[in-house]
Amino acid sequence: MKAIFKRELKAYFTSPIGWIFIGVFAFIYGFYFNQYVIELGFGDISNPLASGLLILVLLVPVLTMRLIAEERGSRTDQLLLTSPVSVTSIVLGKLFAALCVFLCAVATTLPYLAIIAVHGAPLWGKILGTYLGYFMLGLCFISIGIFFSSITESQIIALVVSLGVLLMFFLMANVPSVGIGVLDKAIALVSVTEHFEDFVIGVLKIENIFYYLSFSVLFIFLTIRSVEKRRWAN
Amino acid sequence: MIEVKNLTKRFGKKIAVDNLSFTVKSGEILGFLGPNGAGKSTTMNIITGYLSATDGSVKVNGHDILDEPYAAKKSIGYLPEQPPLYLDMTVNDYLKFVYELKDVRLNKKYHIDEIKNIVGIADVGGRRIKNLSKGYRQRVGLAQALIGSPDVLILDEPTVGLDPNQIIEIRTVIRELAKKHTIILSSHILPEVSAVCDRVLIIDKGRIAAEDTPENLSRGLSGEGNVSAVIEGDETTVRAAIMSVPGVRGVDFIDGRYKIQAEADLRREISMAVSAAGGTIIEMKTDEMSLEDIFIRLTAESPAAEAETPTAKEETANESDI
Repeated sequence: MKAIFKRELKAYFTSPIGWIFIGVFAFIYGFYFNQYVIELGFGDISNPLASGLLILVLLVPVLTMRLIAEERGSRTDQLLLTSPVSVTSIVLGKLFAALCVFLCAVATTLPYLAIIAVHGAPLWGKILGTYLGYFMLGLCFISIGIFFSSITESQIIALVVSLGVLLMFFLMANVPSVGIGVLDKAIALVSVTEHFEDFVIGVLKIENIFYYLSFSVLFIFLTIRSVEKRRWAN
Repeated sequence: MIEVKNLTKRFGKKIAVDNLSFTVKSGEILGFLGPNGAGKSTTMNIITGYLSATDGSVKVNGHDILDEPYAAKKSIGYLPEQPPLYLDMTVNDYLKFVYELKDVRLNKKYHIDEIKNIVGIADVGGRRIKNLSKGYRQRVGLAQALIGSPDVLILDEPTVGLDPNQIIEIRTVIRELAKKHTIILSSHILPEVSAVCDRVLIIDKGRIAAEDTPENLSRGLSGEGNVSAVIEGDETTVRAAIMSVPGVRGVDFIDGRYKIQAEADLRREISMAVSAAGGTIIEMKTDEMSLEDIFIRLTAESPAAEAETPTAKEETANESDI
């Protein structure tokens, strides 16, 4: 797992993808920070972070699209799958590498934290909650992205499909109640971003953490199955 | 060392590998010979654990590839048909990655340097793989298979796409490797297999069509005494002279060559008879069969096809002494 993690992480930064992800992320959050904190005077970093969720929806698929699709396209999966490593550790190694790049991007917001700490009175609980929520949401999105990367050889298809699915999950939060119990429950279940709200107001609920973790575990499991299934193709 | 039993692989309705069984002894070089789509690569992919078989079992070094994948995969080095290279990496980085991936416990720098010297890529270590030529990429692929000094090497068409000099080099490397490793290699070129392999499996439509040493295969199938010759002189006279030799069954004259079918190796007798009749032999050799000929022979099972065989054989007559 370590070898795969190291290689993936390095690949993110020898190709432009890692830099583009971090760069675009930093630019857009800089913009939000400027709007909320500098222009409007809110002494709080949670608002800009929470407002930019859509950016995550749009950016994470860029990060995850190549993870498995590229291996299949270039046949390097033959090396990985015939080496003495399990599919689980291959998938986890890749997931952690993407998560690392994601955390690097999130780390670009830390200087803003320093600015607020110096010039205002930050609500640390709220800030910590927001960052934790960000981490959970990032993990969840990356797991979904890596799954869609595992079902195709084409990075473009992986990108478009995971983008579509994440966007759908994101928009679900805005769907009004349809009045049918089962359907409402189903919508609530996949409204990935809705569970984020609690984190932003600084409320730490075990069920929310559990929600995101189980979502990630489900998609990691599906990814492992999809890679293994190809081996059994008939 | 490698034990394959009743291996079957279906892709939908197509049977890619059909009830294949064979064993490879320690230290042996086994050649898989067959046309494209015969099931060579599929078989190799199953042995290495990349694909799973529909039925049957594979044991490498005593470890079943499904039950003990870790132990089995640890003893295999695999060079697939298309080398599994990360084009953005440098050769050194790539080999280090493979070293870590395979969880090798040898002296890292020494081991990687040694392999680079064996396959002849010591001078391109710092270059990105995407900037290397096909020949060098193939060598990096071979280097990758050697990392960890696995007992078994599985090489899928290791010389495809190389120029003649490189082919000879890679063959030398493979023969050198055979001293320490058990090797399965595939090819669709008979001379290649004869040059390096101890034993050959001819695979056709997923089945073993023949299994023998390369010498026995080409000799046994072509008939001991068939001779091809270029002879100067009047055709009728030469023909009559050849036919006068006891044991000669027939002569054909095609494209300037005499094709002689005989019961045993009668080259001396033919030579003397032709000289006595006033003809001059410019060239004469035993007519060994090419892979194509062997295939036509082996796959021609119906009587109709059997009748076709001699003609087909002449059309593809081989210059196997190249």
